[in-house]
Amino acid sequence: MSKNFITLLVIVSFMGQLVFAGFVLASSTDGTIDPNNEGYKYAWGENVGWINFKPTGGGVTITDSALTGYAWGENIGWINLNPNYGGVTNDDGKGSLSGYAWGENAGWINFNPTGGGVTIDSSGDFSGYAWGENIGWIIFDCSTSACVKTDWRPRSARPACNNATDDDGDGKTDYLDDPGCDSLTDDDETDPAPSPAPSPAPSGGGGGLPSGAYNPPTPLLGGFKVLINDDDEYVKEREVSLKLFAGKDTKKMAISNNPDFSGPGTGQITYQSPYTWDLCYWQKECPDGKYTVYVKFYTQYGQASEVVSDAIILDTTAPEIKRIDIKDYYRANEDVILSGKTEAKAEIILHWNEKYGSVYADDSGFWIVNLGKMSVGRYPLELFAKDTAGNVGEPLIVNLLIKEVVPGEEEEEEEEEEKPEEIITVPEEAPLVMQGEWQLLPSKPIREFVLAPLPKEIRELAQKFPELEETFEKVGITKITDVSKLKTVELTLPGLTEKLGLPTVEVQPGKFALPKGVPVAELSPEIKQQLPTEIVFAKTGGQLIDFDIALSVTEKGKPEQRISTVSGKPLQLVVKPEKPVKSIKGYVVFKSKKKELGIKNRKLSLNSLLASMVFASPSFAKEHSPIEIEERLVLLEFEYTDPDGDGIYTAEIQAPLVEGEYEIITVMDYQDPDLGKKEIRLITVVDPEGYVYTQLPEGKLRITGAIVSLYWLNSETKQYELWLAKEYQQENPQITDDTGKYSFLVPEGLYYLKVEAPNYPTYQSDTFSIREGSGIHMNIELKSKYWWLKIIDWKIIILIIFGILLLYNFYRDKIREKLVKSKKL
Amino acid sequence: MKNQTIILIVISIILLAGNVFFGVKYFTVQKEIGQTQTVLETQKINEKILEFTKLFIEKVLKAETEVDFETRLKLENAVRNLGDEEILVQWQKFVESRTEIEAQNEVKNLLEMLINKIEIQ
Repeated sequence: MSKNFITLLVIVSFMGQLVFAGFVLASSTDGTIDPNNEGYKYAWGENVGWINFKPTGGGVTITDSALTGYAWGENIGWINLNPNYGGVTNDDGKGSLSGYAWGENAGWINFNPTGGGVTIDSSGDFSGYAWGENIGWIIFDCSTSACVKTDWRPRSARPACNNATDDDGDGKTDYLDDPGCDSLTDDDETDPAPSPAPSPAPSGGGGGLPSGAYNPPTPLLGGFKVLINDDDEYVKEREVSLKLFAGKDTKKMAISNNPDFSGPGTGQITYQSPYTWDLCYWQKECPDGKYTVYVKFYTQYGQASEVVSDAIILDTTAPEIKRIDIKDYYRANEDVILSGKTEAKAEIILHWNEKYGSVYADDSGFWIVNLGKMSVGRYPLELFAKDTAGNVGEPLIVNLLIKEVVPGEEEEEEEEEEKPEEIITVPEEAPLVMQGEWQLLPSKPIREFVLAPLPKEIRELAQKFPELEETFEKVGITKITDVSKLKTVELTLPGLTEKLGLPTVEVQPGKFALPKGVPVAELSPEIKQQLPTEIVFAKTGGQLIDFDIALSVTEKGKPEQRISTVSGKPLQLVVKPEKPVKSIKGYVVFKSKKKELGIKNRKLSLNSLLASMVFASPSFAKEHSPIEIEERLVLLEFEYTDPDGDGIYTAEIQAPLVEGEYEIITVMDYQDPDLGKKEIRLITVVDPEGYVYTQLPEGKLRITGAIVSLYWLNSETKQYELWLAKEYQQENPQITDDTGKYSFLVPEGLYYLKVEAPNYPTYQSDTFSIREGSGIHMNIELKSKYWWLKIIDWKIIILIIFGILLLYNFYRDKIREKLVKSKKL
Repeated sequence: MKNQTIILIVISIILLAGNVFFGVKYFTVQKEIGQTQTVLETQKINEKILEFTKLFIEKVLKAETEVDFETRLKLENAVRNLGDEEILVQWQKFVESRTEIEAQNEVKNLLEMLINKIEIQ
């Protein structure tokens, strides 16, 4: 049974191979002549008559490299396209033929002679001239009967997945070899985007397609749509423009003139809108009528949308004015009214007396027009019709004769029926404003508005940080009107360490190197000289950790710097004034209780551009306004000092204990009275410390005495090691007090946390990545070893006992029944 | 007999109350229809103004060569179709401008007027 089945399977598979192989051979890469048997197989020899390229017993095949096989000349017999010492070649699949065929009677036939040459175009038509040494010119011309056609197509006309070319440069070519190809008709070799990496899970995880891979593409708000020529009703040319509407995950599309996508169509091609489409795709004739175009959209995983369509009427026939009713003459005191018949809804354009006017025909094609009164004379009137598709008919010229008023005829005129309104006209010559010579919109105020430079603060900031200037240039922030783009973006400013070309400090040379900043005091005088002025730098961990400071632009277009720290942590501030100062004072001012999350939520982070920058936190010095500080709640006032007199002032403060948003205002009092006082503002977001707790039914219980250890991935040993907190003036591990609190401020790297506490199993977090100067302060829940006991209370115990008793009762019943039965027996 | 009278009186009262109810309802609906028609009318005018403005910007302001007579005819028909005398007068002022500065001023006035004529409810 199974043996027979296997045999049958083998036979079916073999036959399938044959069948599919047949399909593959007759294709755009390996072509035959006249594939549809329409008679397009004859070339014409000027001296030898018809030459058949698909004769019985012969036939020519075309590949990307050559033509092979035999043609038959009615008067010259067989012609070999691939003879010894010759052969007709196909120039690298371009469709330009060259080389020689051989006929026993015709001699050598050159397919690329001087003054001639044969090519195969993108429709598979042969065109041009070959030269036979004994027979003269052989003509290939599909506009005549000498038409030879093939289903082979030049590489340039074939889909990307069937053109023997590595279009995406990945070293793989075409369908089957290139994973970016779904089929031979696919027009995009680009490999599908790699599946997103699986999220780390304790049990590990597999790769494969993402969960959304089997979903159809997402439509836009109004659904999938196709519009032909912007939803026009008529068109006068077969080539139309398709506007396609699909969601962001649409990567491909297929277009066809058939709802089931059978017959000629694009196959799956790269999604693009607009797309030029031929209403009679692959057909020579295109008669007038209604045409419908069907479109399907695909995701990168090949999932298709529903079919959408739009229709348009092809009208290539120019309208004509079939009839015109005009009087022999009109009187000077009467309105010149004429009417006629034309195509339905066509526009009749009239030109007379150096002016133009127009009127529309109704649904029956009838039109009537009132040209108004005219003075005595003869006026040639030119009329032509234009239909809704835009076809313009032949102009018709009639003469209007206006005669003088004859007394007595006036009364007759007044008895006439309701007259149409007088036609609206425009002069033959365009008015000055429409001659295209004037600038109708004043350019000066527009230029001044559009090309105004960036605000002073942003400009100066960019000057101090060339990397930022470069970023602005790259993303096109050059004018005041571009500032709005920055409102939705968060930038990280270039770091001082990198800017000054400082090496990172190694904590334990030879063992491992941490990406750290450099204490300002250790900088050489040359490097101190390069320090940007009037910018506050925030550091922590004994000046070894630079805060990751974001730059954003406020609603008012002002640059704003922001750092995040953990409550109560030390903060070292560094600033270099432009000129000698009397003093530099700092104020910590309360701003708001809640963090502003808006910008974070909608940010388009450009950090990747500037990711390697270590030092950050510039701010701009602006005129000091004491009122602003006085009006707000000042939490701390401190003074910057310069003990070594190097012109760089530093101050160390504690971050506020209460979480919220604060502003650190640095006021520089310059010795030069012209400079006066300048202030620099730095927004500081204070996050609460993290804590270790256990969840009780009554609420969270902070755990005392938990040992919180932080481990860091040593990039050299590839091992996680206890983070050396002492180098950063911190403790690791930390032992929690009654509040259960802990926190770390760490440099960039990969970390994990481990928490050990008596009566609790050891907790180990997933690994996480930390950006420069970010705090580690997550709340950690520890579960008791016997946590499940806590969910059992007296109610559950009673329920369990009740259940056991019930079961026991059933058991006793069964026993009793058995005893009764045995007694009866 | 007495019962019949009572029934008749009750029916009459019910019918009368029905008449009053439907009468009030009719006038309310009439009022609503009137309001809806006004909104619709405004919307139609807005659409016409926007269509003309679009045509004006596309064919005149963005024109780099002379505006052809067909477009000029279309514009003339469209501006008259708005049925707004003020806009028509401003349009004519623009068309009849004799200098570039005058045309620039009139174009600004025309655009301002077109935008102001759009009613937002």
